[in-house]
Amino acid sequence: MTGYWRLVAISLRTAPAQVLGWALAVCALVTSSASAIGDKYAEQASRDAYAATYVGTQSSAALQGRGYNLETLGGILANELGYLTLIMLPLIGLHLAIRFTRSVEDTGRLDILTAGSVHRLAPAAAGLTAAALTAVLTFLLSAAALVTLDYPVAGSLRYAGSLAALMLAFTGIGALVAQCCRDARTSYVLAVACWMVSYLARAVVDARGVDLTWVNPESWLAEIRPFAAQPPLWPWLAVAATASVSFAAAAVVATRRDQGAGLVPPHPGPAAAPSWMTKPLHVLVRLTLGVCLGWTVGGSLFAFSFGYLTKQISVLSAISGATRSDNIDATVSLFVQMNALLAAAAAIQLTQWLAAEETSGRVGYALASPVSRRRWWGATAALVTAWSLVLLICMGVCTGLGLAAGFGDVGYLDDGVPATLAYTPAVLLLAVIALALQSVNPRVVTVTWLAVGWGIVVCLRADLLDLPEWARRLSPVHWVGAVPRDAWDRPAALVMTLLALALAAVAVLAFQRRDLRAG
Amino acid sequence: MHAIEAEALCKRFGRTQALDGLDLAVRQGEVHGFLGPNGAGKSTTIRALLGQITLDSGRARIFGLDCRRQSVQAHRRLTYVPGDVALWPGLSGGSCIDILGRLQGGLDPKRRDALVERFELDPTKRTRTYSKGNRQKVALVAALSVDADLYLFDEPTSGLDPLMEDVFQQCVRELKDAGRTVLLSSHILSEVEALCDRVSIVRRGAVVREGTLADLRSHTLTTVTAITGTAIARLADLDGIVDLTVEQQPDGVHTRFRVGRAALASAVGQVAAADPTALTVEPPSLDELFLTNYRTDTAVTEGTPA
Repeated sequence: MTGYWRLVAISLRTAPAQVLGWALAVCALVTSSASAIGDKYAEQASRDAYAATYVGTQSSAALQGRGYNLETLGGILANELGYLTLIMLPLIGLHLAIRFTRSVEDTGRLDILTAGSVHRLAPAAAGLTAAALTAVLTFLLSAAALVTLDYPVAGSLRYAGSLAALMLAFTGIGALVAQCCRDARTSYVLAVACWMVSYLARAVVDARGVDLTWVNPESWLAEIRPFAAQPPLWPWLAVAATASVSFAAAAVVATRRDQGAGLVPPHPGPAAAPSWMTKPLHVLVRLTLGVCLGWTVGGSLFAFSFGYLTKQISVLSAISGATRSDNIDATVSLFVQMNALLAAAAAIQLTQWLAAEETSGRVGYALASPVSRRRWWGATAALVTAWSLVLLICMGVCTGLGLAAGFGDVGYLDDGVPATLAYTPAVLLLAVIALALQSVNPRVVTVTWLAVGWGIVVCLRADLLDLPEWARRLSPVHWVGAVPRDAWDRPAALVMTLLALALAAVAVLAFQRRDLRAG
Repeated sequence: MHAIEAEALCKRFGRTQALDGLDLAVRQGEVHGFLGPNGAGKSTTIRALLGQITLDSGRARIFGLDCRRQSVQAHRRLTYVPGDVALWPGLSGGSCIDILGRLQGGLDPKRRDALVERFELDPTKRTRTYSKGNRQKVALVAALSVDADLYLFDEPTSGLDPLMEDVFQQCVRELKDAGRTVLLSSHILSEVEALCDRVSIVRRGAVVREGTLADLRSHTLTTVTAITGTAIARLADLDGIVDLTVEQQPDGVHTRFRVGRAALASAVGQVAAADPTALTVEPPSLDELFLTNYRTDTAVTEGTPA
């Protein structure tokens, strides 16, 4: 393939942080968990006790996948990490596939590159090679870390391989999605939707114990059974088949479609803007409507599913002796925290889109009209906070609906909303942090994802990792406390709200004073 | 009060001095050409006028309003076509025109439709599928549909075909007849010659020449070629004659020189006195005028008679 290696070099040189960073993040997670689990379950007796609590119940499997070989350290590690790996790895795979193919095409760079002596498929193939390199690095780094921590060599290799395999399977799916959609934004929306369907389908299959694990890539991570005496071969073949079929399909689509276009040709739009679209806020609403609806549908589905599965999940802790309502509350608080983090993630993504409006030059163009920067900022902030609150309410309602449906008791209906809304100040604070970064420099909004990522780690894995209190405090969601199990921490909520307001005030000033990006 | 008054604008981006003491004055009701090589600071000046960037020093005013502190009031009176038009990818061209026009205020729907017709724009196409020229048309229609006092055009016709270029020139003439002010940044010399009352030539962040085209012409050199029977006397002694070449050829003495405005009459007098069999006097071409001014400082001083 002419030009392939040169393009691989360009991909790696333009985004080394993407390739290396994600692999290091996964490796850091694996290493810290493996070390914590090694200490906590040093005795075989404690491992047997751990395994015993799981026998016969696949209750928490909705969140962490099915657990196998729980009497071994490796089995416990794979089981405990399932909470995060089932979310992180697919999303990283999808992101890298789109980042290295469609996002590059969106910049128009491909038009220059493919005018040279470059094979038609070389840019996409090179981009996907860079993306797949992350999976390879993830495998190498994680395997090295596990072997160093005295986990069995064969099991470590298989487990690290399973992480890379899941990432790779979704890189393939991402590659296909990226070729079919008309641009990177649409690709991300569709790709995340694919992941969510896959994740929720697996949650239902695992929680209900249905024998359908062969259908879904998300299930294969556990089915590889890395620490079993005789691990099955079929999940590896399934991953290999999925990846090769999607890469091949992506290649077919890439050769059939026009450069810079999707599979479906764009249909003509209206000759005039609707008459209600007269103010900056209206324009921004129109631009973000699609992604906001996507988040609302996805978030609601997520909230409902876990509300619905709460009954099964809370059985687990009941076995270990706590009272039933305590357990339900503990489980619900986990889910409403996830609701809050999803709402914050939506706020950050919206802010990123609006920051891209500026870097593309459109904000500078629009602000040549008599619209003050403060008004534009106000419209942006209103849009981001309003949508994340709408999303939060929808998810709260859906958690309540899910609880009611799962328990078959309408009394649970109003449990979701108050608990979810208790996290409003945390969501607001995270949204305003993203907005403030955008006000200082539109290119650094991405940093806010670290806060959400850390929030997820603290929410799901703080106890396992034995995180000190100060580290947990880095996540604003943690400040509120575990509502509804704990009472709502009013002072913390007040502090966060005030912080958000103060930060917003500083952000407006910063946005008014700085240079706008080219326009 | 001038439409645009910029005094000693300075702006530094990292290590580049984008504006280095730039002065610009645009009178009300004139079409002012804004010329200069790539990277000279034309777009930076326009961004400063729009209040998009803070100046390190200097002050810029539009109709007496400070470009930074009173930008909203200033923007009520102007409309702008960027050099690199970025439109919202998911929307149709017509939607973009309406959004931009409504944000600006005072969009005239009849005028909009007439302009869409004149520029032969398909407003239902998604902006993603537009070519560069069509994106430019969207921005032009949006700006021209609005009744403003000042029109800021940053290379508005790059990517337009000659027919559309012609439509654009008609539109600017109509603006001029209506007494509007236009700042036209352009690389197309014929366009500048056809439209502009006065021009400013900017190089390395400062204006190096400013005036009417006739003014600028008077500072450049006329080329004279003549064939005479004998060599022309005392030509080399005249002040202001440059690039003098004299060649003896079978049909006579070929003389060629360039001369500034001050010495033109006496030089041509000398040539006439030598009884030429052929004589051509070429006025300075606009291209030459700009090329001289775009190049280095030394070239300019050489070309300007003392």
